[in-house]
Amino acid sequence: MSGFLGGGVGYRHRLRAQLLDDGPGPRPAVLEVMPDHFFSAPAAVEPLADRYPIVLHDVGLSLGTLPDAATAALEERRLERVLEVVRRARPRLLSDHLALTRSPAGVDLGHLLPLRYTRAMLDHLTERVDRLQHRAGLPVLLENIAAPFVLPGDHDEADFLGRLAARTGCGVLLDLSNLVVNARNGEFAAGRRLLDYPLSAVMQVHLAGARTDPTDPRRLIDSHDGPVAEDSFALLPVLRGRAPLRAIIVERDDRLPPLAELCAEAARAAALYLGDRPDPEAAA
Amino acid sequence: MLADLEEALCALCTDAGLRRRLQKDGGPALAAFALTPDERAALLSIPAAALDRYAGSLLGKRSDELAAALPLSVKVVPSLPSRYRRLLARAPARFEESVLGPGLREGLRLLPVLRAELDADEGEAPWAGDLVAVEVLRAASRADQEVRTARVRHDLRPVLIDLRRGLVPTEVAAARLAVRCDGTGARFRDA
Repeated sequence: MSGFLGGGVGYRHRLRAQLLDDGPGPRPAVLEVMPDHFFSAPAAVEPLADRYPIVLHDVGLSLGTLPDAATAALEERRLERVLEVVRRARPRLLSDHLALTRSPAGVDLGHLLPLRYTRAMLDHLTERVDRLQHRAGLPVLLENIAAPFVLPGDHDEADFLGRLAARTGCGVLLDLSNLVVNARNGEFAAGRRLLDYPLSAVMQVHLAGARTDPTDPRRLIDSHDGPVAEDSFALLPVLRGRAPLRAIIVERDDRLPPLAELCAEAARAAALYLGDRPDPEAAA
Repeated sequence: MLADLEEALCALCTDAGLRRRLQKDGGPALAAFALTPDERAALLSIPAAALDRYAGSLLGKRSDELAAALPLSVKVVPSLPSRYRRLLARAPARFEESVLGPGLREGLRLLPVLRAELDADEGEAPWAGDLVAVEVLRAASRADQEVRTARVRHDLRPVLIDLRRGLVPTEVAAARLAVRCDGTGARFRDA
């Protein structure tokens, strides 16, 4: 497991004081930072980078979009801001989603929309990922999303990610909680599907809470507002010896608990991956 | 063509009228987009309920972001998120390059319409539109250090203090004031 930084949390401004506090208490082994949190004040990421290994996670590259000229120009200016955060945060990895968040002409969804996994999309993403890795000087990871629907194409998601990784050398950020959500909503077995992913390219894992869709109790929503579900933790040992993870990140956006609670989830996840001690939660 | 497929997909997620036409008419509803038969079939395969659910989640996510960016305004105008959702459904957001978060970007974009709507609504506090304007401009200027100005018709200075204390004032004095917002906050002077 050389190169594994450990279990960490997603930075949120509300956690900043606790993260930079010198007092006692658990701290994450690694911190995941979203670049747009620092667009208005890039230097503010430096104290965090001085204290923690950083992995950078973006939600706005919209790598799946085939932008028109006007959108491409705006994207270039935004990328410059991301690269400024890269320079200051000195991250080990840079990730975004296997998705689009805006249309070619610039309709901004503000959220992740699934791609159609075709040969044309593979060519497009190959070019964009190559260019991004070159500009950032970092390994780029692509993350599986909680898909609201699936568009039929030439490949399924796992196969598509494998082909993209083989073509570009990019890695995979595998969101195990998204996989669990998709499995529940798509009525397939998450554990079996996990083995279809290119695990040798999986360098980072996301875990987050999900909740039942109030409009349809058969469905799960990737809500990021509660503790990580046991179903997600249970997938971690499968990655041991198969996936060269650098980091496992616990994401929480709403109903943010104290940092210690998030760190405990992250530490439990790291232990499950490493297999270095029994899982106390599972034993209880 | 890939770009047309993406444009059509985003339109389906943001345009309730297009979703209705797709349900009613099928493929011809997508005639404005240069789609291959394969791409058209892929879009037609999306369950209508899934598209509607996703479109609703986009509106909900954005209105949550707006409400989080404008906590004082939401105390005074609880209908602000639903008003915004209605406006967003009519005019989808556009990608823009900005250091501002999504809630403030949208607050700035739709401020003129929101403010006019609140000013015209006798069911809302007469100073609600002024408050939304000042909170949007002040927060945006704090975030990006840009100077922004506006004129208001009420003296919001005691209002802002009360709201921060958790109090919602009932009487607010009329006044013609100019507001200047910058990286340090909002300053009022007689207009």
